[in-house]
Amino acid sequence: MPGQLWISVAELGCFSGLLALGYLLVLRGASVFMFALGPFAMFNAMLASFLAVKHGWPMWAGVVAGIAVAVALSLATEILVVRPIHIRTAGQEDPPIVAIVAILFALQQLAGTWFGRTALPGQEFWDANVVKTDSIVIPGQDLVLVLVTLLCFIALAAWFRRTSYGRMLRAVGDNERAAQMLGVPVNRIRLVAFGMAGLLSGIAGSLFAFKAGVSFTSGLSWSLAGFLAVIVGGIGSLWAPLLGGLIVAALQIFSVYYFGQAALTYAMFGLAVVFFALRPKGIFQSKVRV
Amino acid sequence: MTETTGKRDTRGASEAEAAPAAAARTGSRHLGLRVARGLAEPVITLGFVVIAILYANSASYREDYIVLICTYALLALGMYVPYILAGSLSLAYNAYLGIGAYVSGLVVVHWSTTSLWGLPLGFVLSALVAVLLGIVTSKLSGFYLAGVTLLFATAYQAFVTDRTSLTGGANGLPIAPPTFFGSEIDRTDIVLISVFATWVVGMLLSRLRRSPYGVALRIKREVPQVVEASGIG
Repeated sequence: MPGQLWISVAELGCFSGLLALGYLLVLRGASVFMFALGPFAMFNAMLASFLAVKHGWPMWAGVVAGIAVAVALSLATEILVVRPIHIRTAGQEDPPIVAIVAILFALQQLAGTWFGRTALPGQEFWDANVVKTDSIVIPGQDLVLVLVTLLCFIALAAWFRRTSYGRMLRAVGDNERAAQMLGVPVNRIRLVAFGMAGLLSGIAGSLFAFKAGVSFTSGLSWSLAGFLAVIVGGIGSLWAPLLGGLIVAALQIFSVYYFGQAALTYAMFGLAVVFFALRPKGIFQSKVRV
Repeated sequence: MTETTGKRDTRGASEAEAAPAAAARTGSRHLGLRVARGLAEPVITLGFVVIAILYANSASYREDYIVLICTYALLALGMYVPYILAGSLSLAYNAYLGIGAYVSGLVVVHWSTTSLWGLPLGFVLSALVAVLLGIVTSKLSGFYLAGVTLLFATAYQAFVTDRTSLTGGANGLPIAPPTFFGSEIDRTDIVLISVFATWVVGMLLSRLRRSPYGVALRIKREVPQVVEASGIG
């Protein structure tokens, strides 16, 4: 098994892990599965490349604008779509999903219309090879991706445990009504969860897009990679998404390497079915105290 | 179900008028009303069928438009029982639709007969896949069901574009207009068939909704324990 593949596993695993961390935040804080995070990451990366390539913006400005747009999209989804539906349907689970999946496909088509239907190159923050031997090449960008991912996870774990907002987020996720009665500002907490998920998807998209470029159809496959990382990892621990992401990435990379591109999707579906049959709550299970 | 409606009717009548004779009269009026209401649904919807056919009559782009509307309507009606009645949201309907379409195409390519043979085969195969997916995901609901069915949908799409020898890949399969005992089924016929098919399916679903099965499904969505406790699987 070529060593270079393991480098790809690390890249894809960190990326899926970041997206899955975003899912986990919204799941714990607002009890909603934010399927549209993949398209947010895609939209952000395409916007950054579009501004840099077509309008000659400096790279950093494009990246910052892209991430800001991802956060804004996520906040707008909560304020304009999810919250009104949540209130009107008395907290049912299905109606927001329909809306979020609709946003997913709408964003893909919007990105295709605005930024073009061809793939754009991603942003490279460090265009030198850190390690270069006969069998392995580690681009500097990989190091950036891994380091930023670890930084995000460490910062979020600290935020989750130490700060009052982190604790309130867990309280809202466990029992929204009880949290509201205790005076927790539920709407603001939900907004924070969505905003941070948008931020994570923006960071993930900006760092990962260099790998194979980004096109308007990337959103759905990115969403599904993150979804699978949540399924495999579970939401019991903050580090679960990273482990789940790495396992999913290993499966994706090796199924493509050995069985071709179409096998990727079969393997993903198969993995989801196996995990739901054997360990439906993922590797790390959360014990909810109501 | 009939028992409960009956009870409600008599109670309504006794509240309105105390005398038994009067109650019987209102009872028969209720019956008449119910018959009228039962007739109103097919009659009014048939009106829409006629409007759709008249609208499509004049130009071919309108015919295609009506056929497209009927396709989407049938797709939505397919979602009606699992989603609206039973409350489980699947996102794999593109696969079921695609299986039906591809079977029709493959029948033409491999057997060089009319694509109408694809109808029964497509029904069976599509339903089989849907049932299998339903069994595999029977424990799931909500986000997780949506996610897994979405994964299945993408896997199906990858399969269709990957197996070029079977499905024609991105170019698809060419299908000639279907023939029925030698005579070609033209655009206008397809409009008629699709509009009536949509109407029949809609009427059947409306009946199903009020049948004991439909009631059990709807209650299972709200209070699953009650349905299981009354011995309905």
